[in-house]
Amino acid sequence: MNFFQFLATYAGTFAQGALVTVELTLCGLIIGLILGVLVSLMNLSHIWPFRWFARLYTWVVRGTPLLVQLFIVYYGLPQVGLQLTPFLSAIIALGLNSAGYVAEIIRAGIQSIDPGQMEAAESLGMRYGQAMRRIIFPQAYRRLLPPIVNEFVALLKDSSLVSTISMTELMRIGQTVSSSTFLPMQSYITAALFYLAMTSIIVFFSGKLERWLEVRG
Amino acid sequence: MPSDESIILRGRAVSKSFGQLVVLDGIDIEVRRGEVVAIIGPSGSGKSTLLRCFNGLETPTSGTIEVAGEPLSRNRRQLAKQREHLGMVFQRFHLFPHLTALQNVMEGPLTVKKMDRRQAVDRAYMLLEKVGLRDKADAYPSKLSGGQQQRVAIARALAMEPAVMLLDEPTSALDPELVGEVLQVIQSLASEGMTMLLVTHEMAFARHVADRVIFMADGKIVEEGPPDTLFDRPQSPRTQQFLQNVARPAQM
Repeated sequence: MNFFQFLATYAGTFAQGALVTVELTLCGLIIGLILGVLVSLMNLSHIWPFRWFARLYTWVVRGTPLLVQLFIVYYGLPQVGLQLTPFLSAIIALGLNSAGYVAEIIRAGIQSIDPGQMEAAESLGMRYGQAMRRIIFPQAYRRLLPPIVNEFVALLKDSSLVSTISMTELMRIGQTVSSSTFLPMQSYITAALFYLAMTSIIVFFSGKLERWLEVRG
Repeated sequence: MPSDESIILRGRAVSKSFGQLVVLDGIDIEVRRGEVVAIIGPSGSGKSTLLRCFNGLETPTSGTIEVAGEPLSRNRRQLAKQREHLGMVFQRFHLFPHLTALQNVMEGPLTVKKMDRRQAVDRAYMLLEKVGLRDKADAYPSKLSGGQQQRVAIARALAMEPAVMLLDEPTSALDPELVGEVLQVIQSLASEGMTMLLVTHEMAFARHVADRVIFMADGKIVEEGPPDTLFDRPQSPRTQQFLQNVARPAQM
């Protein structure tokens, strides 16, 4: 069986796995964005317990492997009576993990804005929240797009780790096909091609979005 | 001293240090309504820091700052309220780059004063007209020269109808050929009776526009007085030395 025959036979199976990968990544990203914004706001807060919590959170999440976090959620939590399905465990672990990175991206983006902008806003009589909403965020969000897209791509690739908790996503399909056909090279190259196609699509559309935002001034 | 309605800015025994470095050392200063006061002095003398203390961008280590008879609040919300009466112009303009010239000028009235949009637009056009930039209303700051940006920044500060304008070296970041247009705008404000506290390196301009000139060095007020007296008959050797140095700066 040559590679094209292999593809013709198994492409549908891989596509199903890829669809699960997309679901996992999107759910993880949405959770990551929402929590990431919250954590970054806590990090910028004037209330020290919030700041303290935000720093602890990003420190722990970014300083430990995603695989370990995933195992804690999937294998560890049942021990304290919280039994989650593989899918839920996967998106919770991916979401909590990416929140740590998203929070740091947002914090860095906001801090990259010239402090003179906050001074100018405050000297007009704006309160801190008004200055953030009207002056700082609108300048920061354009700078946030490229690193957020990187995070999106990284998350998509990292989602392959959830194959270890018996989620039937793209990587897991690769393993299954490999062991039933005894063709690991074809199986994993096919999985790689599917990952590459998905990450390329993300990069392509984010490039378009970036240019569109630029045109709007 | 009895409270005096005519005093709009007052600093008493204002000191500020950053760690070991003493930037302001017991400054006493008053600005009356309608008065134009210029602060001159060598770099690092604390002029800008003093100016920034008056709208809470810096907090003095000790001493009091009063605006219209009320001490500057430490409460952020109240401080924001007090800042509405203080127009600030920065050395580096700090226009909002994501907004057009017109939107920059409208931002304060819209967001802070909750002014009706129609009215804010009209007023913003009027203020841009006043600084000679009505035709640049739709330009973003990146498309404006430094002099134009600073004139928009002045219009932005005026839009809040401040009781005092605080100008922090408004022409120091400009190319020499752009200085004149900004000074002209400041001059016209002065002749309309706007109260101003101005930190500047433009000696000729300070002499021309100011009712009173303050010379600062090493965090202290060394000498102050009417411009003619201070520039022509400086009393302190420190002032004399400074004025001599600026008179012939190009020592080869």
